[in-house]
Amino acid sequence: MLDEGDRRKLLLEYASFVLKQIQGEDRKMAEGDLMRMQEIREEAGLDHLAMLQEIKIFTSGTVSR
Amino acid sequence: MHFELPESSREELTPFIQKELGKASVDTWMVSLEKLEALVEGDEGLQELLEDVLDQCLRYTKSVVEDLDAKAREGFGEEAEEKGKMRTRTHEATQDTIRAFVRNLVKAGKTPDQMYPLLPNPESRPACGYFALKLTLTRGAQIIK
Repeated sequence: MLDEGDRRKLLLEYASFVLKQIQGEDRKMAEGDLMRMQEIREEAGLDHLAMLQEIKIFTSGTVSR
Repeated sequence: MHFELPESSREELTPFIQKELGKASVDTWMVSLEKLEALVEGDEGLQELLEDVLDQCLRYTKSVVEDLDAKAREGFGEEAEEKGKMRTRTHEATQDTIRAFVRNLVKAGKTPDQMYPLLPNPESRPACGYFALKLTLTRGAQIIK
C-alpha cells in the first residue's frame, strides 16, 4: 500500500511523461518511457485515464486563488 | 435549521468530496477539444489564438508539476521557491491568454451560450488555472489509446 507521499511522487512522475509526450506530439513515445508509465500504473493500480483523473485532483487542489 | 460547516472543515472535506465524486465518472471533467475546435472553425485568427491557449495551458500545467515536484523533493528550498515564482508568472500569462481568446471570440460574434460551457470566466484566476490543468490532461488522454 502506497503512502500519500509516494502516491504523489508517482502521480508527478507520470504527469511529467504525459507532458513530455504532449510537447513532442508527433514523435513516437520512447519505449523506456512507455514501460515506466506502465510500471507506475501497475504500482498505483490505475489505468491511464484514472491516473489523469488523480493528477487532475491532486494538481487542482493546489491552484491558488 | 441551517447547518454550515466551519471553513477549516470545508477545506479538509473538499479533496475528499472531489475524490469521491471523481470516482463516479472519470471523464466528466474533460474539456471537449472537438467543441473548442468547432468554435473557431473557419477563422484563422481564432484558430491561432486557440493554439496559443493550448500552448499556454501546457506551460502552466508543466509549471505546476515542476513546482510540486520541487516541493516534494526539497520542501521550501531555493529551487522550490524559484519554481513557485515561475508557476505564479505562468498562471498570470495563462489568464491573459484566455482573456485575449475570449475577447476575440466576442469580437467575432460568439455568444456567452457558445463560449461558457467550454471556457472559464477569464476574470477568475482559479477558474483559468483549473481549466488549464483540465485542458492539458484531456490532451494527455489521447497519448495512450
